[in-house]
Amino acid sequence: MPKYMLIYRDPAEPQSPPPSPEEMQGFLQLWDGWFKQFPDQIVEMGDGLLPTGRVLQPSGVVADGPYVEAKEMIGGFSVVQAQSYEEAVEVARHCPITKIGGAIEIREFAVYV
Amino acid sequence: MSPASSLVEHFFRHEYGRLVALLTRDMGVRHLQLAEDVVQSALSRALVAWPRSGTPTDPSAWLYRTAKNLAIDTLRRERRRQLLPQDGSGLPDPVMTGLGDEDLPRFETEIGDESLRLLFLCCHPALAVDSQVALALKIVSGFGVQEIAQGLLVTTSNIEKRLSRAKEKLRQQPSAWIELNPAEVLERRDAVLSTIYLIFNGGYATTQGELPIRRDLCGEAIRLAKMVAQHPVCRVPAAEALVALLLLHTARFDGREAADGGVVLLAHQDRQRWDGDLLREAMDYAGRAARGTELSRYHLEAAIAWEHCRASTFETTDWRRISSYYRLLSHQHASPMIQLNAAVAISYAESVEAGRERLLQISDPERQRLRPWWDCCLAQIHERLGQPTLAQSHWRDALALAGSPVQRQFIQSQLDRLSS
Repeated sequence: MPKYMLIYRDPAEPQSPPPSPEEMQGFLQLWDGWFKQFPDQIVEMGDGLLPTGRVLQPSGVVADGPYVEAKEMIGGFSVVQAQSYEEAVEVARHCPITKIGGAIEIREFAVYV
Repeated sequence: MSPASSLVEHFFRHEYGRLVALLTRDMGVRHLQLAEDVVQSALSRALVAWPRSGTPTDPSAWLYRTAKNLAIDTLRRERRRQLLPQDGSGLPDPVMTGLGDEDLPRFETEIGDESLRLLFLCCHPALAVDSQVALALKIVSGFGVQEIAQGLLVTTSNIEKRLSRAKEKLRQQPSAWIELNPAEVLERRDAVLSTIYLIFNGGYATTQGELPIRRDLCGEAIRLAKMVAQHPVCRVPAAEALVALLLLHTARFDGREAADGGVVLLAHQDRQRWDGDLLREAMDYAGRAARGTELSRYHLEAAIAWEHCRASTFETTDWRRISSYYRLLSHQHASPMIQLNAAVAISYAESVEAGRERLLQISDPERQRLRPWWDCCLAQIHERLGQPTLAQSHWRDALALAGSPVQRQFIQSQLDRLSS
């Protein structure tokens, strides 16, 4: 079955005011619920990415951080398997990331290897 | 793997306060903001990690470790930036030494103490009272800025201002550590109790729709009051009386709430819906509070609340006794709200006319602060005097001043009742 990577694009501007502990515990529940809702589709829960990083240019120049001018920042990813893009999108639609204003990029694995 | 749903209610919120308390103990008050930031980050990490790897067996320890490591990283980075090749770099840094302690707090009591110390810090005499309340809700209770604003019916920018002012004041204090000597504990104890009382009132005042946050504020006030009342150094009858008072009010929550979210007046409440367990617990605390000779305002207010709770019907309420408590209370703490309540008590204990006289004696500036409640009370008194036209006119005044949909809905229903 085709696999898709869900790439979480969080808003680069942090939420203001930041989410409260109570809201965060609520999000935790939402993530749990999402994983439970799609046990057959979600094959790899993935991980989060720290907001800092390095960018290596082809010239060999190394700069700090992801592109600062970007409106969104990749904050994490998961991998799902689905019959079609429609099904993958359906799984993504229920992902809690959307509740905090994050976009999700859905990309099918090329399976070149 | 245990799911997030296995976490107890308000786990994150309580952890926030506990961790800020522990880290502030380790790093000193001047790093309060850093403590808050790393705790927030630790919770964010839990948000990614726990759904994927399962909730750790000891989630509290996981959060503490994560927050502490983040704090150490930040401090190291700062230190590298600020004082790189300095002589005397071998001197132990008290902040790092505090954090280097690998011991996790194991005793519930110890954790309680840290939170309590943080609560006393919030009631620092240099801080304005409204800042004390906001700061305690933020760092001891772990509420978000928006939740505090909703709970206290003010804007988020108002809360943000209060918080930044409070933190700035604390940064300017000479003592970097939360060390309280017994004299300071005594000096601040009243302020601590009154902050807790204000937190509860913030949640109790039904001037806006029954948001769950308002009940959370009340529950939190009870938790803090119990913390004070159970601590060997802070335990005084006034603290125990405060717990009793808050429990007595809370016991009547369900009876006070109409099915449509509106308010049910005391006279019409179904007393079967009052919470018997809470009433019994309140009496426990009241019994302990009665042991000394101290008669604080909390004692008197609890005594009044108890009189209401123990009456099996509204008609059998012992208004004489309530009225005498109000008389004592107004000597101690003559707030406009107490004057208003005292007038109502007199209208039942003595005569409706005497109550009306007392209402009219309330000075104009105080009256302004009490409106529209003052108008509502006067309207009810005219109704009881058999003067429906005057009553209607005061209900209409009240309606014009009503600040929230719940208030408006309540007053409108009274007007509808009179005109039908």
